[in-house]
Amino acid sequence: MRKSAWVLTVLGALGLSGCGYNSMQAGDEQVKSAWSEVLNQYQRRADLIPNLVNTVKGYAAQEQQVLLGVTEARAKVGSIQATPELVNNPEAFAKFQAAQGELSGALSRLMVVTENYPQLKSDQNFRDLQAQLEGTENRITVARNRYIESVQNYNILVRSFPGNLTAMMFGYKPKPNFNVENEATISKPPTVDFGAKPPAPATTIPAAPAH
Amino acid sequence: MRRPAAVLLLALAALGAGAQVAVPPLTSRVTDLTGTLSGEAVNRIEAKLTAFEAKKGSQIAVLIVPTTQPEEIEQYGIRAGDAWKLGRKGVDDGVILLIAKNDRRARIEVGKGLEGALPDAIANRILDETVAPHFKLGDYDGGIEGGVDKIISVVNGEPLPEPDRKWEGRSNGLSNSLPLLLGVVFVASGVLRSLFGRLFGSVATGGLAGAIAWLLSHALAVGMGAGVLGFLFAMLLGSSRGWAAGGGGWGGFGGGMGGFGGGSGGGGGGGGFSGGGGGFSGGGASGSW
Repeated sequence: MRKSAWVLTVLGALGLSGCGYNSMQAGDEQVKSAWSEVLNQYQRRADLIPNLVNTVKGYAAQEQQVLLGVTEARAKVGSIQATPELVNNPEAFAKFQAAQGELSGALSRLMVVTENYPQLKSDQNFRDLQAQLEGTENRITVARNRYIESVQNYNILVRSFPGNLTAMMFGYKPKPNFNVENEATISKPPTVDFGAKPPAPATTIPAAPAH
Repeated sequence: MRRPAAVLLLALAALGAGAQVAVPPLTSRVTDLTGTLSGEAVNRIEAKLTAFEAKKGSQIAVLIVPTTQPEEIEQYGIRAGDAWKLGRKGVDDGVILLIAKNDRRARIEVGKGLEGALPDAIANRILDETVAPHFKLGDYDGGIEGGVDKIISVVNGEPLPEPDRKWEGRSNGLSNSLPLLLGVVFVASGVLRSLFGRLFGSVATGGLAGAIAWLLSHALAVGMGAGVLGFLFAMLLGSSRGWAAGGGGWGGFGGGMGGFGGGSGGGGGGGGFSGGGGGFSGGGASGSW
């Protein structure tokens, strides 16, 4: 009699792990930690910006428009509450992504403009900041890739049988993933402008700034 | 008729062009796929890096490839970091000095644990001020050795855990909970034996001990060893009439603990050079020459 109770307990435990509940917990946790890393790196980038803007201003104050663009984009990013729960809200997630994408664009425009100021380029402080920014952009890319991977694994788990039944029972939904931000720009040929600096060209350079 | 075949060929060619450069397996601290470095330089650098790991625990490696195209050096660098897992697990103190010779690009890929000692700005300066000037003159030996020296001196200034912590850290989970495991085996053997009889009760105890040890140590060999020991212990305990023979049982377990250590050590050791399980998150800097 006691033996059968034991057997039932063991079978129950096996059954729960067989339906993917445990892997779903692990996957959910993994997505959360991957997302925290993404947020962490975005924050790191935002923290770099005031210093960067000030340094550039010292040599290239006439680039008002570009500098203002960066500051505004950063303010916009800061106004969105970046919480770990963002992953469970596709709409807020998309908005957050759009804001971060805008900041990426503004930053890469700034880095392009700085190419015209040799004195700025040789300033050690600026070079350190530039290295930090490049490193952070790279970390963002890595963190995003890891997030994409973890979401992919999780979504496969939640959508495929028999995990989908478990997910339905416990209310687990597929999580939103990143998409290519400048889809529209990529499908368009780049425009070459020989005129004065365009205030806000539609074509953005890919996230990694020029070296 | 020929058209589809041509299209297919083109697509295949595009696929081939899109293929990534493979990260070579990690067999030594200096991996030069271009044959650029002189033999003496390789020996010197390897000796330096080996001594540094023995002293400080950090793993530093040099990788020279002809090209990383079509990938950027940053993408290739993080793949190499993920594949090689340099640095100790949990400390994440690995560094790769990566050179893509024909692309004229260099990168220092920094493990998560060293981002404080070797931040992006410092990595950038090492590339800019030490590596690139030598490379510009075609002095690859000097550039790489100089770069390695700088990295070593920077990492040296960082307080890191002692080198042999690697082994300790791995068995820590088990040795911390050994008293608990002993207690569990002691109680479980009594309960399970009275439930299932001596033989099956002992088997169950062994299984339980093995499962717990496996969970704690994440090593199958350790779990299996603990399982066998748990079984023997329960059998001995069952055969004992009184405390005197019980003492014999304890002696058996003491020998078993020696076995634990062996299992752990066997898992950690290994010939040749391999990464210690350190993680990378894309830190570091890239430069050109």
